[in-house]
Amino acid sequence: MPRHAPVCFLLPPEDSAETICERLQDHLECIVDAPVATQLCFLDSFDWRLHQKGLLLLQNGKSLELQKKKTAQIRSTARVSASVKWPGDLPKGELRGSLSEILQMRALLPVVCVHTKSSLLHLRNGDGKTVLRMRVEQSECQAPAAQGAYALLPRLWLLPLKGYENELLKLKRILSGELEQAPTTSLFDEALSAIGRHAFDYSSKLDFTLAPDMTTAQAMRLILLHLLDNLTNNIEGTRADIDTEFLHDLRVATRRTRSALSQIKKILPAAVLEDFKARFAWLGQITSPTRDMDVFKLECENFRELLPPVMREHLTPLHDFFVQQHRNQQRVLKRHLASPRFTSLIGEWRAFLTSDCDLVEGMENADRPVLAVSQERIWKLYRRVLREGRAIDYDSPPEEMHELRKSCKKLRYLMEFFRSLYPDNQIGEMIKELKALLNNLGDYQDHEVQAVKLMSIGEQMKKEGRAPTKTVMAMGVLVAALLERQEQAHKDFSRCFSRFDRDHNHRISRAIFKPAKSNMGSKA
Amino acid sequence: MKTLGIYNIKGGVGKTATAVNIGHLAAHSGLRTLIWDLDPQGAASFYFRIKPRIKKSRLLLFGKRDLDDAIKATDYPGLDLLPADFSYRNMDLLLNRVRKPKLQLKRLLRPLSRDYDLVIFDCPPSISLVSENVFRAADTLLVPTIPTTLSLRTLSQLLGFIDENKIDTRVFSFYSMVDIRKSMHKSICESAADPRCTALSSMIPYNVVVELMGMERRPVNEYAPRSMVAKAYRQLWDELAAKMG
Repeated sequence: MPRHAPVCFLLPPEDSAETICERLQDHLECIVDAPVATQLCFLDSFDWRLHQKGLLLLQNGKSLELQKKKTAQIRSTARVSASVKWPGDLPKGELRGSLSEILQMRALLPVVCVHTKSSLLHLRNGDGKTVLRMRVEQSECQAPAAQGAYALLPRLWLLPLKGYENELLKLKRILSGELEQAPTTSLFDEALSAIGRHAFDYSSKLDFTLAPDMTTAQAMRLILLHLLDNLTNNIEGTRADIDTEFLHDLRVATRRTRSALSQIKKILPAAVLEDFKARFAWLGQITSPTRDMDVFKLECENFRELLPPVMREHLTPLHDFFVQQHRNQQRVLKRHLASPRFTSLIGEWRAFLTSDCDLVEGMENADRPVLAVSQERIWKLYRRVLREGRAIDYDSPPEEMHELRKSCKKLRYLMEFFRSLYPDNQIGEMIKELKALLNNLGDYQDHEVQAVKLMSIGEQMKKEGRAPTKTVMAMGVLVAALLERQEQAHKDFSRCFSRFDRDHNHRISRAIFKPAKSNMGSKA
Repeated sequence: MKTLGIYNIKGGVGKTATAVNIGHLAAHSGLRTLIWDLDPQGAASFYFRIKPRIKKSRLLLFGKRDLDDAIKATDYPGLDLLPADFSYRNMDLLLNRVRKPKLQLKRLLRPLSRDYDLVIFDCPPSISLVSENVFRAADTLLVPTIPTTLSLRTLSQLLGFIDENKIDTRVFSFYSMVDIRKSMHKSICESAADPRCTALSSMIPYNVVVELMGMERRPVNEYAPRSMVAKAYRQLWDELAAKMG
C-alpha cells in the first residue's frame, strides 16, 4: 500500500485529461489512456434502511458492493445478473443474508445513478517508469426514471504508487497552486444533493417539532400537512406495488389523519370536518382488501411454521389464492387511486391546509395554546383507557377488548402527534408502555380476525374447487393454531394491562398530561 | 503468503525472464505479488525500469530498516518489486555476521505476510549463503533448466545439496530456452526427468521474443501477448499455480 492517500482536486469544466497532460509535460512525460465509461447506482429502501445502519449499497454493472458509509470499507460483495429488487435476487451468501436482515419486507430501489467518463493518465520518469497515475473523472448524476442529468464538477485524482511518494508530493504542490482541492463529501452525498434530495428525506415517523406556545390551529395544520405529505409520498409506490410498506404507510397516514380529525376537537368547522372525515374513511376502506392480502402473503411463512412439517406443503394452494386475490385487489386499488374521487380528496385537502385557514377562525380550540389542548385530550383518553381496561375481565365480551384497543390507538396517536411538547424520556416511556399493551390487544384481535377470514377463504376455495382435502385440513389446523394464540393473548391481557395500569405510569401521566386546572374530575 | 524461489546454480538459463513473466502473470491472476531481485546485476529491476539501488541496504539486511520502505510499485497492478542493489554482491559476507545466517530472508519476510499472496525470489547463480537462505525461505523452488548435459548435472547437484542438508522445500524443474531443432534438446526433453524433483511439462522455447525483453523492458505478455513464448509462460504459470495449490 502507498504511504499517502489519493489526493483529489476539482477541475474547471474547460479542463480535460489532455489539457492536464499538456500542462505537466515540463515535469514528467504524460500518457493518456482512452476514456472508460462506468455507471454506478446507489440503492436503498424507500425509508433508507441501509443508510440508517451506516451502509451504502453500490451497483456497478454486475457487481454489487455493500460498504460502510464512513470509511468506504467493503463489507460484502456479490455478482448479479440484472437489476436487483429483493435480497432473494442475489446468490446465497453474506451480502444476501445482511440485506435480508436489514431490509425485511422492503424492496431495493435505485436512489441515484452516477455516469462517469474517466481517463487514466500515466506520468513517467526519464526511464519510462510510471511514477504517478492520475485520473480525470467527468460525472453526471441522474435520479431514477428522470429525464435530465446533473453534471458534477470534474475531478482530478492523484493516485500514488508505492515507493514514489515524492513524485506525488511534488505534483500535489504544483497543482495546489492552480486547482482547488475537492471537498471530502462522498460521491453519494454529492450526487444526491445534485438531484435535489438528501438522506432520510422520507420517514413514516412523526418527526416534526411543535412549540408549546403555538396555537392549536397552527399545530394541527403542521401535523395534518406532515401526514398528507407522508400519504402522498407513498402513492406512487402503492400504485406500482413496489413493496407492501408503501400501502402500509399510506394507510397509517390515513388512519392518523382520521384520528387527528376526530380527536382534536373544535378546530375545524363541522361541515368541513364531517366531509373530510367521511372521505378519509372511504380511503381507509378501499385500501383494506389489498392490505389484508399483503398481510396474508407476508404471514405465509409463519403460517407454515404453525403446522406440523408433514402438512406444510398443503398450504401452497392457499398461498396461490392469496397471490391471485392480491393481484385482483391491487387492480381495483389502482383504479381507485387514479379516480377523480381520490385525486380531488388529496388536492382539496392540501388546498384547505395550505389556505389561509380562515375557516378555523372562531372555533373554540383554534387559538388556544396547543400544549393545553393536547393535555386535555391525552388526559381524557388516558383515563378512558384505564376505565375501559379496568372493567374487562376474562369473561368480558370480545367487543370490550376491541373498544379498548381503539381507545389505546387513539391515545397512542395523540401522544405521538404531541410528543415534542413533552419531556422526551417520559412521553417516550409512556408510548413504549402503551405499545406493549397494544401488542397484546393486537394479538388478541388479529389472530381472531385471521382465523375467521381463513374459515371463509376455505369455504370460498372449496366452492371454487381450488382447495384439495389436504389443504382444507391444513387450514383447519392453522385456524386452530391461530385461535390458540388468540387464547394465549386473552390469558396474557390481565398481566399486560396491570403493567400499564401501575402507579409509576400514573405518576408520569399526572405529571405531564394532567391539565393545570382540570375539571375532568376523577383521579387516574 | 506463498514463496517461490527461481533458482539455478548456472547463469544464463532464463531465471530472471521467468521471475518477471511469472510474477506478471501471477499479479494479473489477482495475486498480490512481490518480486525480490536478489541478483546484484539487477536485471529484474532493469526490466521493470526501476533503479537497482536501495538506500542503506545493509540496514535492511540487518532488519534495522523496514523492508517495506524499499519496495516499489511496478507499472502493473498488484505487482511490486524489491529492487536489487549492487551491494548484494557482498550479501554472503553480511549474512555471515548475524545469528542464524541461513534464516535471515525468512525472518525479514515475515512482516510482509499480510501484504502479499506470493513472493518470488529472483536469485543470483551459484550455491552460496544467499541461495541457502532462499532455499529455506521458499516453499517452492522453480529451476529453469536448459536441456543440455551440463544443465542436468547442475540440477542434480542442487537436488543433492537439498537432500544432504535436509532442506524442507519442493523442487519443480522445467525446460527453458528449448530449441527443439537441436537433437540433444529433443532427446533430453523426451527422456525421464530426475525423480528427486517434479518435472513440469511446460517448456519455454528459445526465441528472440524473450531477448526483446531487454529492449522493451516489459514482461512478454505486455508486448507480444500472442507470441509462442507468451503462450508458453501462461501455460507454465497455470501449471505451476495448480501445483503450488
